[in-house]
Amino acid sequence: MLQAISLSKKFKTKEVVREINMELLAGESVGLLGPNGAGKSTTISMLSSLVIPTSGDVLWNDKSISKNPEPLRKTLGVVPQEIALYPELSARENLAFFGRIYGLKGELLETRITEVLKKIGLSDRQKDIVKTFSGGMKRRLNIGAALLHKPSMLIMDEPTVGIDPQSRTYILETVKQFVEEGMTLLYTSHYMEEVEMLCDKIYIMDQGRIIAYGTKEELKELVSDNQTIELKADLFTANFEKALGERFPKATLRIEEKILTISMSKSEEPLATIFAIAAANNVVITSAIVKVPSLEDVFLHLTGKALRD
Amino acid sequence: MTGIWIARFQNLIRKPTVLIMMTVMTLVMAYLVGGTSNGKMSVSVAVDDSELSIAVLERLKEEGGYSLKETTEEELKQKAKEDIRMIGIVLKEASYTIFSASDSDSVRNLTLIVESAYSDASFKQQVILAGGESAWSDLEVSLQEKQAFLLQTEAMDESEVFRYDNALQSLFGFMLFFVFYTVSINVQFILDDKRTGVWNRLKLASISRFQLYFGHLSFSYIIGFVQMLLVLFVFRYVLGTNMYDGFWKVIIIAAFYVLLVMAFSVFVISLVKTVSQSSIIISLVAVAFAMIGGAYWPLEIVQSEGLLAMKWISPIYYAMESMKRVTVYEGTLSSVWTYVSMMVGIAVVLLVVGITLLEKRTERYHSSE
Repeated sequence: MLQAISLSKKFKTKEVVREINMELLAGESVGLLGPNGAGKSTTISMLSSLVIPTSGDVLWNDKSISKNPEPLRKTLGVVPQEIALYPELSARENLAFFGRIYGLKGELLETRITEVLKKIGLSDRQKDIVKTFSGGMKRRLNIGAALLHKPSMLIMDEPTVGIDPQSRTYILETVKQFVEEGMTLLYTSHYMEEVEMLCDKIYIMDQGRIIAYGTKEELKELVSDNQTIELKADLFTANFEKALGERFPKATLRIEEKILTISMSKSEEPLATIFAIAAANNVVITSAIVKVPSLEDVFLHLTGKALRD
Repeated sequence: MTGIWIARFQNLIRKPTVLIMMTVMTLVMAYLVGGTSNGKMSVSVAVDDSELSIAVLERLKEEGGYSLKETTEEELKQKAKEDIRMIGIVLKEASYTIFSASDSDSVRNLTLIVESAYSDASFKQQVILAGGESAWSDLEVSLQEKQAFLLQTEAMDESEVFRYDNALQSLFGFMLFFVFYTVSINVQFILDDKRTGVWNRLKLASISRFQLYFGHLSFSYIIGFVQMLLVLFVFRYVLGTNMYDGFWKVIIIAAFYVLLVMAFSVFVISLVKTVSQSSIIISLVAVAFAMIGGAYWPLEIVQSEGLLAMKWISPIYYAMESMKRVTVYEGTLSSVWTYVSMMVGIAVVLLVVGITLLEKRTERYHSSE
């Protein structure tokens, strides 16, 4: 079991992680959600023993990792956000390098490399130089390099950043398979759907703090009294937005291109009023959808901003 | 650590351009600028029958760095018209003329020697004129007796006689200059590993900091040292450059120089965030160090006190001086121990400061989110 107890980290005067408490049980898949700059990567670095916390502690099987991180490191695989590979070497050479670093050699090393290449779907490209790979293939190899020593726990820091949808799907399916095989997973992302798909338990982070945690269902309960209405129009005028804000002062409004998203209490029956305000402000609404709460709504409700802002 | 070496070697095989370019550049530049002569410059000399000019000619012969060919003034002038590369000198009672198409270091050095010889010979002549041969003999004896009671002091950067070998000046200068780039570019690998996250992966695999730094730095060291060995062996055994029996001493000094350059490179990468920033600093600093350290020209011809004072900050200076002393000046290794120990001392300080700063920088990478 991996535990973070009142974990804080300061870089000079900037406090990037504040009093975080987390728990990761064996076989669990946990998501860490938060926008850029929320403190996710620093939290992961402290949990994986790379960064020393300013205060608080990380426990692995009830023992602090500050003095002896070895037991944790032996069972831990970390997939960093960066492509931590040598671009001039082939896929196989890269894996051989990281395998040797973990003390694997000879036939055992070769067998593990072959297994990992198969797992990440790069067997047919194993001899190719990494710099010739697509973004998705590099990401897959980046994951592979963390699997060579057969870790029982995997920490993944936004492993699908900047890749095409096809590669993303492949990576998500692969990670899902790891979870099904019983691997403990800590997965950070700012893509809600990824965390929803892979994780049983979710921590939501903002400005260095955990602002909510629980299962998907528990988190959605937080906004069960809310509703989200998505309106489409060719043009939303400033007057229309202002009039809506005055009429529904507790609602959260967000415009992205031609879509206006309104989050408000379920107790209100707003559609007729919204159409009336639109007509009064010469806004022609082409569609209106009332949506059930999602994790995106949870985040919006908790922080007042969208996850990818 | 073996893993780091294998990966670095594989990377070098895939991207050997830097090592090849720097080695070839050293060979080409040193060959073109310094040549491969046995150290002697061919000079045609025309002398009138005056005592003074004959004395100056004798002094030039004693210098040993010149292959002198005596001729007449007319012949020398004619030859100068026909052969643009010819260097000639006409020695007369009250003046001298040097014929040369270029104002090279060698020509400037020749001028210095001639001027000094004229000055000494003229002084001797004046003493003899004033008090006869016996006065000069007395003066010589008196000077020798006084020397017996003189405390012998020798400053690190001073030599009793300025000796110059154009081939070795170019060879050592370009070799020390280009190896600076080779070693620095190799050391930058550490910065790149930290930036890409490979460094963290290695730390997570429980590789100790010592193993990480030692693995990378020892590889960079070997590459720099191999480059220097290659250049020295080519010049000594393929091109036949005269190293005055100091070949192995030069190799020993080279070993300490590579250590100093490696430590300096660690210090530079500890001050910057990216490889490109480090490359810019190294490019600027290497040229500046070569200039003030005497890689491009002998420091003996530099007259600016400010520029001479700055030589102490240049790693190239220590190696250049040591190498010249064990070859051109035919000194022993113990005669350069001060330079060598300074190279080691500075290297240790730079390594400690550099690695400490790098470790702090590593943590700052995590604050960039």
